[in-house]
Amino acid sequence: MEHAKQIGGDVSELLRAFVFEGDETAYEQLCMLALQKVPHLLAYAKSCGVPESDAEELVHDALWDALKPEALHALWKKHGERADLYTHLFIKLRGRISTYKRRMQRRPRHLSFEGLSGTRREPISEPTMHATNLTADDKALFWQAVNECLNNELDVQILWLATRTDAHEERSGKRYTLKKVAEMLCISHDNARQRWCGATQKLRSCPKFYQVCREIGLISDGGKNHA
Amino acid sequence: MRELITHEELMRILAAIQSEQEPSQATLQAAAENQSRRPVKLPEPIDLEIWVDPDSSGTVLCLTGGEKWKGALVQCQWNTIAKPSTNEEAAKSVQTAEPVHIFLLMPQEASNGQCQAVVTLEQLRLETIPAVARIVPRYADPEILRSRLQSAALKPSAKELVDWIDANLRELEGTKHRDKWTTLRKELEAGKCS
Repeated sequence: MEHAKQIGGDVSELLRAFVFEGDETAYEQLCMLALQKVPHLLAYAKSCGVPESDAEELVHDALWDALKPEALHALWKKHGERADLYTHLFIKLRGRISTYKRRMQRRPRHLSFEGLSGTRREPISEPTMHATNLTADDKALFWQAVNECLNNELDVQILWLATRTDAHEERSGKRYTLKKVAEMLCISHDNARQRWCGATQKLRSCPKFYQVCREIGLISDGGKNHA
Repeated sequence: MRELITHEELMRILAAIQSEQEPSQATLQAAAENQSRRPVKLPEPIDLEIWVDPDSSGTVLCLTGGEKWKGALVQCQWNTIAKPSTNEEAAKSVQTAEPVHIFLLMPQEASNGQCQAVVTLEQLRLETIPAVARIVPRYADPEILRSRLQSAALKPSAKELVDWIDANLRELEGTKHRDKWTTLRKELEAGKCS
C-alpha cells in the first residue's frame, strides 16, 4: 500500500508538471510508469479471453490511447490530484478489448484469428491481399508512402524489420519480434514497442498511405469505414 | 485523428508486403546449390544490396548502399547458421539456433552515389541474407550498443567507433543519451569495450 501511495503521489505531481508546464521529462516518467504496468495489462487482457497473440497489441494500443497528451489533459481535468494513471490505463484497455470483441463477433468465420501465427496480430491472407500481384513499382510506392507518412528513419526501420520473416522460423511464418528489432537498432524494447504502436497508428490515419494501399490493391473495399 | 483502416487491415497489409519482402531461405539455398548466388536488392527506403557468399572456411558479406548509408554503423544478424566443415554435406546439415551478429562501418566515400563495405567472417558459414539495421545515433542507447558490441562476432576497431561517435556528436547534442555516448567514447578510447 505504501508503494501504491508513493506511486500515486508521483503520478499526480508528474501529471501536474506535464499539464501545466509541458514538462517533457515528467511525460517520459509517466510513460515509464505506464510501461511498468504492461504485464498486469497483458494478464488482464488474457483474463478477458483475448488470445495471447492479440493481447500484446491491444495493450500497446491502449497505452497509446492513454498516453496521448490530450488524454492526459482530460484525465487531469476530470480527476485533478486524484487522477489514477493505472485506472486510466485499464479503462483504455477495456475500451480496446470491447472494440476487439465486437470486431471479432462481426468477422466471418473464415477470417477468424484462430489460424493466425506470430506475436502480433497476423491475419491470414485473403485472395485480394496476396503480395504476388505486386510489382516492384507497387512495392516501391508502398515503402515510399510509409517513408513519407512516418518521416522518421528509425520508425521506418522498425516497421521494415518487424515485417521481416525470421529465416530460422520461416516455416511458422513468424516475424521478427519487437525485442529482436530493438536489439538490431540498439534501442530499448519499450522504446521499440512504443514507436511500433505510434508508427502503426500513424499509418492507419495517413491519407497518403491509405490511398497508395488502395491503388496497388492492398485494400480492396476501401478500409474500415467502407466495409 | 480519424483512422482510415483498422489494425487488422494494416496487419494484413504488412503480412502481404512481408511475403515478398525478401527471398526465402529455400530460394537462397537453391541458388547456392546452382552456384548462382546473386545480390539481394532491398528497395527504398532501405535501398541496400546484400551479397552473401559462404564457402568451407567462412563467409564473405558485401553491402552496397546509397547516400544514406555513407558512414553508417550497421548491424547484421543471422539466426540460422551452418557450422563450417571440410565435409560439404556435414556443413549443410549442421545448424544452430544461436544467432550471430556483427557490426560494420560503411565507408564515408561513395562512388557513383553508392558506398560499399565487404567483410569476411572466418569460421562461419552463413547461408541466409541477414537482417540489417542502420544504427540511428539520435535514438540508439549507447549501453545497448556497448552490450551488442561486446557479443558481436565482428566489429569495427575501437578507433573507428570513436571516430563514428565523433562524426555524429552534433546529432547527439540535446539527446537524452548524450552523456552515455561520452562515457562509451571514453571506454572505447581506454580499450574497455573489447
